[in-house]
Amino acid sequence: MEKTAPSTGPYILLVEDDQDIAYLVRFILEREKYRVVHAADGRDAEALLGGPPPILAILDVMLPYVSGFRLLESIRARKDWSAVPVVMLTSMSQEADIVRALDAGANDYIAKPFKPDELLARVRRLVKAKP
Amino acid sequence: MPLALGSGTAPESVLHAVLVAALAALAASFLLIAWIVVLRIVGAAARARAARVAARWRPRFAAAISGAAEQAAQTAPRLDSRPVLRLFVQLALVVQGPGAVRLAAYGRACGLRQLAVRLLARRSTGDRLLAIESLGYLGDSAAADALRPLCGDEHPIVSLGAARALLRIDPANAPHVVPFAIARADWPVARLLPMLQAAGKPAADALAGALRDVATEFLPRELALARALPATLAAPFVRKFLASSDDPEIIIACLKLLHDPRDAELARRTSGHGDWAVRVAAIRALGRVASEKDLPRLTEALGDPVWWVRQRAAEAIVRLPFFSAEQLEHLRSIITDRFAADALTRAIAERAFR
Repeated sequence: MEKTAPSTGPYILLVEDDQDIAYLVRFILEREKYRVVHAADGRDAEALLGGPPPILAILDVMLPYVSGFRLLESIRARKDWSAVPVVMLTSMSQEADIVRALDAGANDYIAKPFKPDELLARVRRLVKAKP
Repeated sequence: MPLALGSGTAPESVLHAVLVAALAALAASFLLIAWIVVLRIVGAAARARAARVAARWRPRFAAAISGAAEQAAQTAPRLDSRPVLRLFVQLALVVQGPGAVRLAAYGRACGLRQLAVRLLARRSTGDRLLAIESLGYLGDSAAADALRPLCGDEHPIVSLGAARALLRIDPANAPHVVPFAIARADWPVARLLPMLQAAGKPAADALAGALRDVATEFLPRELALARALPATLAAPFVRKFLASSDDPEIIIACLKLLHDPRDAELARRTSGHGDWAVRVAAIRALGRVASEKDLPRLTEALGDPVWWVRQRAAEAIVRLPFFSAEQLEHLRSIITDRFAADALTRAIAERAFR
């Protein structure tokens, strides 16, 4: 599993602290030939902001050290990362998180428990739409 | 022979007792240290096993979820029961739809049901809960027979878990679960509502049936659970019991279910009830279905002697969709009752946070 951004080539950034969810999402995306870089907490993810931007970022909301919302703000604040499409992973029961994520500039959200096919469809749509 | 110590002498028996106590304390310390070492070793072995199981089974479960090319089912060894089932449940918790169905089918093919049923027979509550959750997510109707008796288990977490698993396996198990949901005060209503809502029509029919066959003893709880019913199904019961009951607990439970504007008169009639808790429930209900003609009634409730009624009246007024911010400010300026003005000021300030 890659933990540093590749120097060349497109990749998807996945920031998720739950090992099982991270493995599953990475499995689903890599099967579709996407390259995935995984950060297990907000601090590791912030360290990647200095590197090349991904074609898509999938952020969990509840993260150790730096929350998904803070990360989203950091991503939108950086000139080279500001156009990166962002999908937030939220809990179904936290409707307020969904509203907050969309207000803060996320392009889409996936509520857990999620449908793998739906995740893929949203990823494809956002990656295609990126200019 | 007594020994001389300083100015006094200590009998030999006392010294003997002190020596025995010291040796016992030393032995206990060594035993404790040995026990800690054993626990550390056992814990490390369990973590290592869990890591091995994850390395072996995570890819298989992930492949099943994502619908990867059909893979041969592998029987999970008994020794790996707990970590395999734990991993299965953790993944089942985060997926839904076709992926969840594929995971359950693969789990059944790997013999996870047999592992879970074996674990269910153990005395440990943790093992039983893991087994119950696993059976629920495996969705195997053959497991329902093992789960049904557990709804009556004395342990509320075990029994509630069994009920949830039964509804997950097949919502048609609702007629078996609903009577327990009504009778068991140790099952929190807040936990039951999402379970019953997810079970859909079978649960709604069972609940509606229970409300029709009224046993007054359980009526307040049945009405609390009726929040899981669609509003149109609950409304006839609301009207019936509000018209016939003078029990404050039942009236309050009905008012909490009141969402139909056609039933606003029922809320108006109870807004002046002698019991302040009923007035609170009536004001909240009225806030949901009020029209402009209810404004004087809600404004009057701002002057209620009970703080809770005043606060709920203020919140209801502030949330009225037809009442503008300017009208609110005007109302606040003309209120002469200090307590009413305080309540309205607080409600207006809190609205700014939303």
